[in-house]
Amino acid sequence: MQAEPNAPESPRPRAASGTTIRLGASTRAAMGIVLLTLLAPSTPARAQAGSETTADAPEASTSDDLELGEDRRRRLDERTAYTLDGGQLKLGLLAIDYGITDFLTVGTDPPAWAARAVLPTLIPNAHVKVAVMDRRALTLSLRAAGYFVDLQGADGAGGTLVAVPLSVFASAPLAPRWVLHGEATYLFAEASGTGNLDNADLDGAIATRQVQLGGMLEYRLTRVVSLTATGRYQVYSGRLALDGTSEIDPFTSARFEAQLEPRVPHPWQALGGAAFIWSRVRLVVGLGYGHYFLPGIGVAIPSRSIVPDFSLAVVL
Amino acid sequence: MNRSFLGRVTAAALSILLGACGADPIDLPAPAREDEMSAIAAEYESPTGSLNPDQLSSTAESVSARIDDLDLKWLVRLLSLVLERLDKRLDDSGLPEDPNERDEDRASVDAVIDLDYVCSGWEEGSAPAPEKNGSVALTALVVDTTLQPDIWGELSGCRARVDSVEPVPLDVLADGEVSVHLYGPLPESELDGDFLVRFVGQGGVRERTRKLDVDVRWIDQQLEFRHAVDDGVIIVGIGLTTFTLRGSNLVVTCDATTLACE
Repeated sequence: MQAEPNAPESPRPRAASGTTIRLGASTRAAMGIVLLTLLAPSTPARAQAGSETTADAPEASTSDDLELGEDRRRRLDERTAYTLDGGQLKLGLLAIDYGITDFLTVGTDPPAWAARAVLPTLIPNAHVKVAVMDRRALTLSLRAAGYFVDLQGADGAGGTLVAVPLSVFASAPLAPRWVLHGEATYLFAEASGTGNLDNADLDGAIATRQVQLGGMLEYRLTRVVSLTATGRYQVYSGRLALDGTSEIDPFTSARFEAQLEPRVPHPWQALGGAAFIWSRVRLVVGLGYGHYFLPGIGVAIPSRSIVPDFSLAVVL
Repeated sequence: MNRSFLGRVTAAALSILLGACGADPIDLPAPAREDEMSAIAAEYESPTGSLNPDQLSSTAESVSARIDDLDLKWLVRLLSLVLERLDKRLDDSGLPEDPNERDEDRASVDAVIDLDYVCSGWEEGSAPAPEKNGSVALTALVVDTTLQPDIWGELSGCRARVDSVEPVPLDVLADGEVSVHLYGPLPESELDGDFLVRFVGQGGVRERTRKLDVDVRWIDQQLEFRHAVDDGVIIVGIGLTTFTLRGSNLVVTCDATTLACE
């Protein structure tokens, strides 16, 4: 149920430990750290007093200032339907984004560029996110990204891989403190040529055609801190085809036809974490188990293990 | 440009792309003469014929005559030359080059590689001339990130100059079907590899071409061939000054000159 913006002040919300969410040991430990850091946001919040819509809010949290839909600047914009405000620039480890308008954000993923350090290829990439519906009850966004991988091998073995993740995000406040974020992503991957498949393969995390569903439940603990429970599951894994002819030397040519399939057809992950949304800094930390999905492009590393979740960004 | 227009365009693009349900699977051909090669490979591993200790000298004589007659090192050298290039092609694509190894930490790959090698001709430094010098076509398969041991193809009027232990290189002419069974990684340089070759067709060294239906095994830098005896086949291994006879019951080494076996 959505609270009215001018509704009387609600009773002080219960502490997180009083909720009915069942939390794992690691999440409880994370919550302990979160609670210890709760004092930190007060200083930056005061520092931003002139520029914040909630700048005049009292230090103690209330239901009103915890309504996520009411404070655009304190909304999670990664893996949610929310976009940056127009003119906002976000410099993050996982994404550099710029809000062209309140409903249109464009950006690029630094990790893909940084992959040059470990891969023999550069991966230029860009993404655009548009909020097609932004209501109090529901925000709906579409996100499209493009990743280009040069599969250049030696002596004429060349090729390209283009991966285009297309996502639909929905974010809906369920109650004053609760927001549910849903995501459906289709990864369209197309390869051509006869190139080096090692350039497209990072521990088996190859970009093939795939469909993923994701969800995140967000519980706003304070104006700054949210607890999150995130899950992701790949419901469909397709194959990636590659073919072409290359010349090995003047006397030798080879026709090459290949197809790649992910080693794990249905990777998944479950994470618990916390998001800290200060006025200028956004930090997401979490831990879980399952397969690690590469940030942005969303392809999964085949091995299952403890999965970290970390994102840090400065918003200007 | 407004939000609803953007939404409609994006939704249309999404529906088109969602309709593309992924690439069609590639058609992996069955290796030609695979069963026959498996049977031959099994005989090289476990010879079916036995050696009669009382008739070793006569067996050694017939084997010696066959060694002189067969002279098939050219076939191994020619195939090794082409397999080297196949190795390079697989390496360039990041594909496995050893049928006994499989990289678990990567996406599963199926692949068909059709290699065409224009034979070099009998003149040094000649440009590629497939009409004049013929060619070798080989097909290799990678199934689930594993190179399949059986490779097959055709030699079409192939004229090639291959190195020899003799000071003069061998001018080879070959035309027929060829099958290769790999025991280890593809050769990275000439004769660096272990494989079985079967050739059916016309072939030989320049003036001495003839109809052939033969198989030889190049293993541990030694040439082996099957030799028929009364109750099956034995395996002959050719060394520099000796040859070995390997039967189901016995292994002996014979001097290539005196034919004395022990």
